[in-house]
Amino acid sequence: MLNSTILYNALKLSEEIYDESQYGIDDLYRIKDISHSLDLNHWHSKSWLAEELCKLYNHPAGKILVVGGWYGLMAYQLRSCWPDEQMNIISTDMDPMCEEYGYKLFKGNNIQYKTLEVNSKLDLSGYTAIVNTSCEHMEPEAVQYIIDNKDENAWVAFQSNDYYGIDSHINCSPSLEYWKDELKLDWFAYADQQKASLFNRFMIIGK
Amino acid sequence: MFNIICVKFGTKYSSDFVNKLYMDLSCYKPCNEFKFYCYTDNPEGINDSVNIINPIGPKLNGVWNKLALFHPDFPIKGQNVYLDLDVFIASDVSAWLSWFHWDKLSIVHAPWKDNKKRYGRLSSYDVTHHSSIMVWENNVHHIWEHFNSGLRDYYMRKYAGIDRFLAHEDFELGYVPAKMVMSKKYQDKDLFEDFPPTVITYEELDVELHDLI
Repeated sequence: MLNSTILYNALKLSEEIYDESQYGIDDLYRIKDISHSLDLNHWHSKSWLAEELCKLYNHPAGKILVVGGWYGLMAYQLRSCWPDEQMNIISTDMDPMCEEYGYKLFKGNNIQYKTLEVNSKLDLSGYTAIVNTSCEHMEPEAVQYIIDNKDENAWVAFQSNDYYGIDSHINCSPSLEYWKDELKLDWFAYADQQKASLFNRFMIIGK
Repeated sequence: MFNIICVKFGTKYSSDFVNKLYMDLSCYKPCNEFKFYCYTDNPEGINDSVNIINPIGPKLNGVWNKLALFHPDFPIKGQNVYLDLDVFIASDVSAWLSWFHWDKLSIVHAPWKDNKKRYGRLSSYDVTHHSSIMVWENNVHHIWEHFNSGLRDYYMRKYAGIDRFLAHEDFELGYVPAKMVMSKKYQDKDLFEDFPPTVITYEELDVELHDLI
């Protein structure tokens, strides 16, 4: 499942970040963060979402917005399921460095990158699906904003978890059922969970 | 009149810690000479005399809520002294007011952390201070704005707490007077024989309420 070209890109990016730390901005934690973003459990969880959404969406064209997309692994997995250009895939994150490093990590995979934060100014019209695997990092109001402001027929595919022990996890849910009740979706097409070593990961797909 | 502020989020500390801090401070200073505030997500059980401030800004976990004290909309102005809930008050905090550097954020120098040096220098993510006590008047909004940027989530992953964030994001910081504070874990009482400390901090220790009595 792991792609050796992308892992090679990550190694070269790590060299670049180290060099930058010697002569410019010293931010070696980026190396760990990028490495973590490509962890095997992220490959599995993003692949899970891409495959299930692909089955349900069942159409070759559209425009998918990934929010909280980190360095772009989610967008890459979606591109693997929709290799044709008819599907426009945009990976976004509030961290501006994700855009810069994402291009380098997943170059040649026809993914657009943008820096944006989910807030009340975000225009979600025109997207046929909105993907968010970072719900535990976002305020509940931001997650609900996506549901309330997407086009009526647009899909949402979300992941969250019950991993409360991480400082940046500000919006975990205690169970899949609890989370499902919290999200005010009109229609649930898929809801399931997977056990990770320290937590449960939840996934909901619907409209 | 000055402000004393504490922060209670989550379940690590009960309201008893807030009430004890307030009562201890009141032992040394009449209540009408300072205002005591608790910034909290759960005011249940807190003494009615304590001024409650409800959460503002984005939802945060644990110690990161201390940074919200520097939010431009935080509803307190004037001279502010922040105290962790796990500190012991041994005398009048206001005796130090004229010694503080109010023009910038001042925290506690922790020189004993120098002893953790390896390879002749501190590691990048180590620190020689802690934020059990913080003192400021104004001009600290830039700390919140720096944190509450597109990198907010990244900082919470990168730094194990706000002490490292404050140390490594190039803020200009001052220190509160060394004689004011004693570290329970790292400093010997003998150092303070001539001049007893006003505040005893319990950083890096698991504290129960009875430890502070």
